[in-house]
Amino acid sequence: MAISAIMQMQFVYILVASLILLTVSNILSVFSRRHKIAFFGTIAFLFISLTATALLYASNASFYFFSIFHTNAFSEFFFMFFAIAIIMVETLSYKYSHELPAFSLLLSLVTFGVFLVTFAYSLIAILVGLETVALASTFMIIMNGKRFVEPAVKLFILSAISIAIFTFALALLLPYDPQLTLSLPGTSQAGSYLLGLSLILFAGALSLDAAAFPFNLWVPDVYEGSPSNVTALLASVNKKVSFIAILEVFIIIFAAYRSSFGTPLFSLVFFFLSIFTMFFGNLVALVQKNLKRLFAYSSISQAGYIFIGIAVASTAGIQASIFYIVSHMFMIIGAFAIVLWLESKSIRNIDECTGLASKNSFAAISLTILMLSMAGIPPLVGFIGKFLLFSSAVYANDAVLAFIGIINSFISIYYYAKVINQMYTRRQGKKMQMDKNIAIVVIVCLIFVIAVGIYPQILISAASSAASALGAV
Amino acid sequence: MTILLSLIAVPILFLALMLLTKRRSGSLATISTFISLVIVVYLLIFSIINKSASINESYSYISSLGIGFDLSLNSISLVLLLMSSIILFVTALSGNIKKEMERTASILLVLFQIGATGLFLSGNLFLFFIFWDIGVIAPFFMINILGSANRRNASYKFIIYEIFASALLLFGIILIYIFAPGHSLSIAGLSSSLSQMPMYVQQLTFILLFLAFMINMPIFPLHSWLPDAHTEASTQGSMVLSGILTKFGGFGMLIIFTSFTIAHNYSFYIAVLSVVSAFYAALLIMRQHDIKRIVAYTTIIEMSIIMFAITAMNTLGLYGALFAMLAHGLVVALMFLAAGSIEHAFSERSIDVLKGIAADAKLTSYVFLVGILAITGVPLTTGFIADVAMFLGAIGAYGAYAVIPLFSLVLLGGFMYYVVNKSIFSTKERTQSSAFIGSSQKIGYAILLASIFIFGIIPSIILNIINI
Amino acid sequence: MNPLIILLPILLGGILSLASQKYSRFIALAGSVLSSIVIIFVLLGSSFSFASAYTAALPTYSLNWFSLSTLSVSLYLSTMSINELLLILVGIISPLIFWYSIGYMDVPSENSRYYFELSVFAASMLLFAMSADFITMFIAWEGLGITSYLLIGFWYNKREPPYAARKAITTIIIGDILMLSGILIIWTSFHTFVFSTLINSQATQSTNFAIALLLILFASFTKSAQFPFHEWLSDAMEGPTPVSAFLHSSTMVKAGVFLIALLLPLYISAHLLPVILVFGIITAIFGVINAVSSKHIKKILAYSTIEDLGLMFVALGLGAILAALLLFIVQTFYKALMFMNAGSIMKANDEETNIYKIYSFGGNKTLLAAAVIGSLSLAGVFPFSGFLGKAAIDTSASSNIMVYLILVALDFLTAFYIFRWLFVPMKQQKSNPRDSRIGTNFAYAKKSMIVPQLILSVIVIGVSLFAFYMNSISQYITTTDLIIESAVSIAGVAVALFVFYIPKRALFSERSAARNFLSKGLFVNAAYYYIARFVQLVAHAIDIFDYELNRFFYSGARGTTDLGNAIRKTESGSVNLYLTAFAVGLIFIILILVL
Repeated sequence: MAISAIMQMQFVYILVASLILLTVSNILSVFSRRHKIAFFGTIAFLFISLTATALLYASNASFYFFSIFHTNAFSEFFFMFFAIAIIMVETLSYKYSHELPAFSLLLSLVTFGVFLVTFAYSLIAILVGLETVALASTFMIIMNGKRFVEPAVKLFILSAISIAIFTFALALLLPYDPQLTLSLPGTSQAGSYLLGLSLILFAGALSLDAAAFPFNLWVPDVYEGSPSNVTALLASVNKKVSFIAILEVFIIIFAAYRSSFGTPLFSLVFFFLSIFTMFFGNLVALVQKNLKRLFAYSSISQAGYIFIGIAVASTAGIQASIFYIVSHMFMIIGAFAIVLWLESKSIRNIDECTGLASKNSFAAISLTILMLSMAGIPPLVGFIGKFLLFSSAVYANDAVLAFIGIINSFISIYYYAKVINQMYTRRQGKKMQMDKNIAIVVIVCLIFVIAVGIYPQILISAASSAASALGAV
Repeated sequence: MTILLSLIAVPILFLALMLLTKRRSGSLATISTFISLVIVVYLLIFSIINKSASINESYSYISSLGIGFDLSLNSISLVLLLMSSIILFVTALSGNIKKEMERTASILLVLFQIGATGLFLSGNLFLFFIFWDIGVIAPFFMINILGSANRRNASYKFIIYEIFASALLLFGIILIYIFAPGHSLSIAGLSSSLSQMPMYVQQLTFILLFLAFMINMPIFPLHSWLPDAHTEASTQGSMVLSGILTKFGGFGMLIIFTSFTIAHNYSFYIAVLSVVSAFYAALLIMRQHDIKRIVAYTTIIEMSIIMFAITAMNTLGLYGALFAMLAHGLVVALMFLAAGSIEHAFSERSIDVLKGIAADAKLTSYVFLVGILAITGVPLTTGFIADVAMFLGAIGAYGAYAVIPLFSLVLLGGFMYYVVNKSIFSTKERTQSSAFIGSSQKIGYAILLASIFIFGIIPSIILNIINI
Repeated sequence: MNPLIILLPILLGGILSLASQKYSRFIALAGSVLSSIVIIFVLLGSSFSFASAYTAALPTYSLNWFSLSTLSVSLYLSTMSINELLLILVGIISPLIFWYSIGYMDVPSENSRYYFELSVFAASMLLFAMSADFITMFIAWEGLGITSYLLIGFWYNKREPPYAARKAITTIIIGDILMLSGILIIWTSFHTFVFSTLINSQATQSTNFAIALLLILFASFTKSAQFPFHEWLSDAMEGPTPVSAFLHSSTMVKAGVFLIALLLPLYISAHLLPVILVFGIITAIFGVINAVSSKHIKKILAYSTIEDLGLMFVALGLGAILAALLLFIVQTFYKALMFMNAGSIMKANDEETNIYKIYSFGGNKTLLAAAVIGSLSLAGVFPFSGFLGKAAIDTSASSNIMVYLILVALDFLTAFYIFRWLFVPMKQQKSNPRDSRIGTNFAYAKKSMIVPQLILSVIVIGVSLFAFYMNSISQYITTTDLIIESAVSIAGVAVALFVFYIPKRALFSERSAARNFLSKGLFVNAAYYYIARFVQLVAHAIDIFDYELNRFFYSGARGTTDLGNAIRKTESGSVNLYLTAFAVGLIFIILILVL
């Protein structure tokens, strides 16, 4: 498809305009307090931005715009999936949020933040984007009432620290690149302690956001404390955005900052982070009784898997991480969608799930499939992702990482099976009806999980072109 | 030709159909398995006429990883496919004796059909793994949802062991994938790609795959999932678990022992282990009281003997093991069907309580007896051909002492007949409900018995394919 | 003619008898008779010569069964020499048994099952008689074992038969596996299953070969009830009496003897004859002692069978195949006759089996005559055919004085216990008034049960007459041995007469101390029990081990969970902790990079 650069630029305009309109329409709906307008407006504008990105992606666009952004396969790819995720969160929140217009407004801010991070060509944009996403979600939590102040404050403090450290780390980069663009610093780097310190601080700041061990202690509290639709957002969008930031910062800026063995130093950091995060998440998930906490820990361990690809720091590894980030986004949204619905039926703990299969078989089967996918059972998407991750690790002579990953996915089956066990315990109870909006979200996630699991080629090639667009190591 | 693909596509289509419609899922499962059986029988006849059992089909799958959707049929997979198709058909037709939760049971059975068919047809290890796990997950639910009283612990144990096995398998497959020239996972080309790998990788991979298959088969000391799982599963679950699932491991063993040249270094130790395993299980069976558990233990004994024959690594041993898998699959499905029928009729599984079954359930009693005959390798049943070929292979490899594991059959047979004389052909003590046997179950018995005797009396049907 | 046709009528009869309870007995009898007629047609024209009976015949018929790489299995059948001999014996006995069964089986609801199992047995026996290679033989062998098991446990709703069947099948399985092991080892050494090829191939001396031959020998011991596997046979008497007469005295139990006789050249070349001899003697002694002490009307006969089989093995151990075969032939007839007789007596006595409680014959002269002819033959009194076998064995042992003396002593005791069997119930009849329940049914003694006995009586006498007519006895029996044998037997009969019949009070009562000691079966059953206990103990130990193994794996899982719990405790949800963790994490990253 030969599309001229001018047309491609028009797509960018459409994208930006739709984002602005999204915000504006939501501001209007906040004043008019019309839920439906807020809902359909949000969905519609998100779809427009999604379409615009898709067109950009289809036209192989890769150029700079507005001096701090650039568009390439990587950014378009991720923005599309984030848009889908945000649409799903919005769909979930319909009926489940007291203040849907306000929620939608905050969601549009999140979208904006996501836009900033994914399309960033400047570290400043990443900083602002992360901040926007974090702040918006803090407000999303707190607006639900007094009960939610504590998790909101926790989230706020943590993101404030993260951003402060991030800023400091960024400042340390100034000597190398005054523009703070997202590119390889020009001057020679080896042995530069300033750069090393910057790397450490970046790793700390972003690991805090991405919830790597030992920076992850806040995750379960905040996830459990927040309303589930926000949790879905936190687990899918917030966390994954920080992965995008990690990819951009480390793969691009610190790619050449290598140890005396020739491996990038950041890969060493993520090697250990990955191992600890996997073990921590899985082991603690084993003893959880609360469904939401279980998924919180499970998503911590999943972050560990994603780190494998980053630690490997090869094209295959990055590609695998990208694949897994997207897959996990769908798995966790689906899971939290069901958790949200269960909460509305006041089912919070694992042992309250007893007999779910007889009360609502769709929910039970979907949750089962999603959990099996998280555990890496073929032919579901989680397995393909893990296969890519582990094989990239073995290929890069990091077989230890692959082995630990495999051991961990073995451990994880234990707690997933616990939930499954409960759900299929025979117990008569009255049927529970699932709301349409939740069912739609769950179905979309299921289709993704199964279809991509069975035929993963499309997503793999997309992930691979995204990885190469990122400028692989 | 897309005949192999159609074998996998049929159950997938039926699975979709069953998920969409609410009624008649039992018949749909039967039709699905029947179509597969017809196709497999066609393939069998086709192979005998053409004197070639080799069909390869390849479809594009994950091209960027160099992994294709390769399906391949050879004599080994055809035999196992035949076995699994017969068992699946009978299971679908007559396994659900209680007629409860029919829809769930049928859906899971067809899911398992996908796994089993795909596994035996897979042309590369990636597909092998995918279908392996499908084949593990479906029985998990057969235990967990449809099982009897202690099903939760049993299913837990089952899934932990099996997923551990598949974790090892996955690691092994990844190692092969990375180190094989051209990232080839092809099963047919496994030995040639292995020969170009470093020795430590070969050793590590062999150990990983061996452990994975060993858990699945299962061999002592990693066997303890099996008795619980088989006992607590639904009748259908037990039939496919023992009949087909344990053959996954056997199939894998056949693959690794024909592909790894370094298997020679380990074969003797593995042989000793499998002999220990056979006697271990044969002694343990004597302490059992649950009739399904007893049948479950026979699986460990038989699979240990099969493992023993595989370690001989000669033609007779390997093909004898293959024939033994066919034999054992059919027999154990028959015995679990009979055991399920007994459980259904008398609401009791303990041999201490059951007395004089023959008086009420004559047909089932004799079917059980014939099952014992076939397990102990009486001529004219499939077991005999299997025993002769396996042990001739083993004696060829290890000398006259290789007959020692045969004597585990003395313990097994002795105990099985003890059960028969204690519970089946014995004095009836209390009045029990008369055991009505539905016609579908009679057909099930008939099909399995016919297969046992046909392949036992005219083994050339199978051996002609193997001899090609 | 394809010899497999012989099996057709009897198998067909068996299967068809499943179809109708009412007519099953006639269908089965017809099948059996037809099979015997077919045997005559098949054997027509072949000249049978006893002198060459023992040579392994070249197979007359073969059928490809299956092949797998180097293994190619065909079924070989032969209707020559020794095979012909057994075929004729089975062909004669089988219709008589079916005929006798018509009278004996009076539970119509079980007829189909009975005749089916009996027909399958007869077919297996015929196949065994024709087999000329190990695989065919093994098929028949297993058929014999299973039908024997089923028939012993035929009355499974009674208390005892299931136990007896269990004991039998355990022995049978041991035998099957021993046999299969032996066969397989032999194939690996010689790549053939065919008897004649094996015998003619000048077998090489190798350990494997000796092991295989020993395995086959012990397998034969299980089927032919030799020490230490002999006890199942006495328990097998729980089966219907025609079954005892057919399987457990005249045909099946001799399968082992037959096989060893056939393979004897191999045993000679492997120097294994002493093993056969020793076990034969031990068994014969055990059999006699048990027969003397037992009070069960059928078990005495069963122990006598054990003794006869032991004697046959003694003959084989001495290398005298023809002597063994002589006893083989005559024993078939007199033992079948004795069992039929015992069956009739038991029927008349309401299934009572204790010889001290039953009345014999009840004035039925035909039964009495048959019993006397049978007993005299069994005792080995000239000219009743039993002496043929016994004297021939004595003759073959004449070079070995120890064995000879033992044999003579056994002959004496044999005559003694069999006349005890005859006299004790007769004495009962004489001294006690008629009981209301027992011994009343002689009036109803059925013709179908009597006529086969008469036919067998005629054969028992006829065989010896035939032997004299052929004038070939002197080849096998010296006159001295004939005289010694008969004299010893008559002495035994006389002692029995003076001990059990003439005195007013029996010298050895039902409950004498000596009898009690001997009736323990010389502790063979106790030994079985302790072996079984031992296996159970091992199984118990393994069970405990398995439980611990399970726990070990379980505690592994438990440990993982505990670890999770321990880590979880570090979480308190306070922001301070988060910050500490953050600081720790940063230090951690620094450490990674610095190191």
